[in-house]
Amino acid sequence: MTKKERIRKTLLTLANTQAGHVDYDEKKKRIIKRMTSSGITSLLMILIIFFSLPYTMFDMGSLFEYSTLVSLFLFLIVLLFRYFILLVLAYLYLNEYTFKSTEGFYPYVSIIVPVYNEGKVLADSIFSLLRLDYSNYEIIIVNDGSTDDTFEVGKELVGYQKGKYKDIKVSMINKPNGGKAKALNAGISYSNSDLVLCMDGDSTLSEETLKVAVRHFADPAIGAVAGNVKVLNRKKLFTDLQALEYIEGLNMARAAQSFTRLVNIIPGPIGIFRKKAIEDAGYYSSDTFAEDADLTLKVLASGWKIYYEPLAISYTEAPVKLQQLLKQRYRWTRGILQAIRKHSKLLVNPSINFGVTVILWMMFYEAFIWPIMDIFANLFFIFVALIYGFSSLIFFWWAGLALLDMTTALYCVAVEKEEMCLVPYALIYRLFFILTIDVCKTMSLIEEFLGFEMSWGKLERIGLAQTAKK
Amino acid sequence: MELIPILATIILVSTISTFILAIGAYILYKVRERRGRQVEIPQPDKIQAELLTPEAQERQLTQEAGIPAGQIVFEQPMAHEHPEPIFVQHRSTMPQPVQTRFAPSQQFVAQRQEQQQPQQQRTGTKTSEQKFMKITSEGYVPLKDNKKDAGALKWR
Repeated sequence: MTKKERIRKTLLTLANTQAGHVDYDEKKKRIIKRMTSSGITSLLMILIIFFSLPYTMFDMGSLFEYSTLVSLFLFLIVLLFRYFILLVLAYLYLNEYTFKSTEGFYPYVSIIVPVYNEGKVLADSIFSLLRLDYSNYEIIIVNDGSTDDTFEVGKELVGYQKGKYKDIKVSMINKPNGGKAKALNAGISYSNSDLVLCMDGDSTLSEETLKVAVRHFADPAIGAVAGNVKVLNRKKLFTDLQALEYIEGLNMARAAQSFTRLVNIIPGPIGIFRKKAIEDAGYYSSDTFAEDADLTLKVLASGWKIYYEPLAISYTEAPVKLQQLLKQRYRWTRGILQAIRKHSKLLVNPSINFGVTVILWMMFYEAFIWPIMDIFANLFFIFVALIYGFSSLIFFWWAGLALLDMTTALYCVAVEKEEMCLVPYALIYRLFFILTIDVCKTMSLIEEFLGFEMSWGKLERIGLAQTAKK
Repeated sequence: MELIPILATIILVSTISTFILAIGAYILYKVRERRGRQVEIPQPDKIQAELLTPEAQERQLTQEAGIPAGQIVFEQPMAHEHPEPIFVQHRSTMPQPVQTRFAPSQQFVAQRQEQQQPQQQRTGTKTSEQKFMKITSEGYVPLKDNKKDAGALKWR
């Protein structure tokens, strides 16, 4: 048995076995037991420090003063280290990308558009696909049991539509509601091409998307290419902050991961896959709420490489209300945690696939450690400021982070040739936006740990491209 | 008053406000979410570790539509012949774009009507019979009827 087969077998076993599910309750009990014992130990230690402090040279104020300085320093070190690694790798990726070109490779591509109640935006999405600067592709709409006029809109589009170079075949699969994963699988199974582009029904692609993304598949080791997601609805504080987050937080990390060909999440709005890689990974699964992250991990674990293409752009509508944003992030966080839990054997055993282990630990840090760390740091600084009056510390802490964010934002905006007006948002980015997101992440984390029930959230779309045309 | 204490106070107040706002918004979101959940629908997380395969998907579609297995129902009959993948080896430039205008559904309706017409009409090409017909006062006359008068090529 080759290494690839062994990895695949392990992966499929992980994904399939009901035994894993049965063991879950026992594992949960064990974790709760461990956490309770460590919690009691920590409490005991705090009590010992509290009662033994009068017998030392410190008083409570000086203890907090020193610990504030130490935590400030440690926090910044961790943050700097993360940013430094990401920036260096992203720079190396960019350097490699600039000098790389492949021509004369135009394989046939199937674009799968899963839709559920996207009647308002479906037509615009398909029109954007017909404008693609590529000749060899088809469009497959998968209507996942929509209850609005999606079916009627889709039916109007079915047929051979005029593309940029030739008529493009537009098909539609109409199926009962079963979730995005099943809808994508239906489209992929119908497609006969070697490459499939999976996207969201509410997204629009830039003209050169296929042309620039497909060229990477000339390398037979590449199993998938992750695209670049950009926020369509800007010019509002809330959506501009999200635009900055997409550029600084997500795309920079993706570029850095791309240098090692280990992109950890192929975004739902745009991902191009080799069909063989999807087959090896066992298709999309519905057992997590982040089916894109789950499939990406399975593709990586199957031994395929994943690249990031910054010019393959998908424009998507970002949530305009705080409630919508929380709904989205709640789903993302719980979905990612579910995906990590599903692949926990790969997380703890680097001998199966070292690259995936590293990627899983990075995801674990982003989804689990970082939000808790950020919240605790904030609460700690508030506490020492209110009780001991060290309010200047919170200013220096914020100033350090803001400077770091500004520098990174400037670099990312310059690299992506984005709007420079996004850079000043970095001043309030961490203070308002990241803190809110981290609160949501922490709450989602607690709910996931306690096993709260959750459902798919559907964001209300207003059809911005349509509105703009009018 | 110095600048740093003022800024520190602003940041402190902002951080506390953001905390309160974020927790409040989260609680509100959960309350709304609970109210909105009226009908219990099958949740994906209830189907633990399900591995979806195309066969299963096909079976599901066919069973629900009540048709024999191995046959998927699509809303429009599909042309099953996919264009062959093009692997151009030495091609420096992409084909030149066709000037097209995107109009709403009327264009697509017209296009579909056009597609329903016979292939020869749509493309403007003629069959071999049509190619070799002669126009007379009675209209088109097939060539084979007037073979002698047609002046067919003869090898000498």
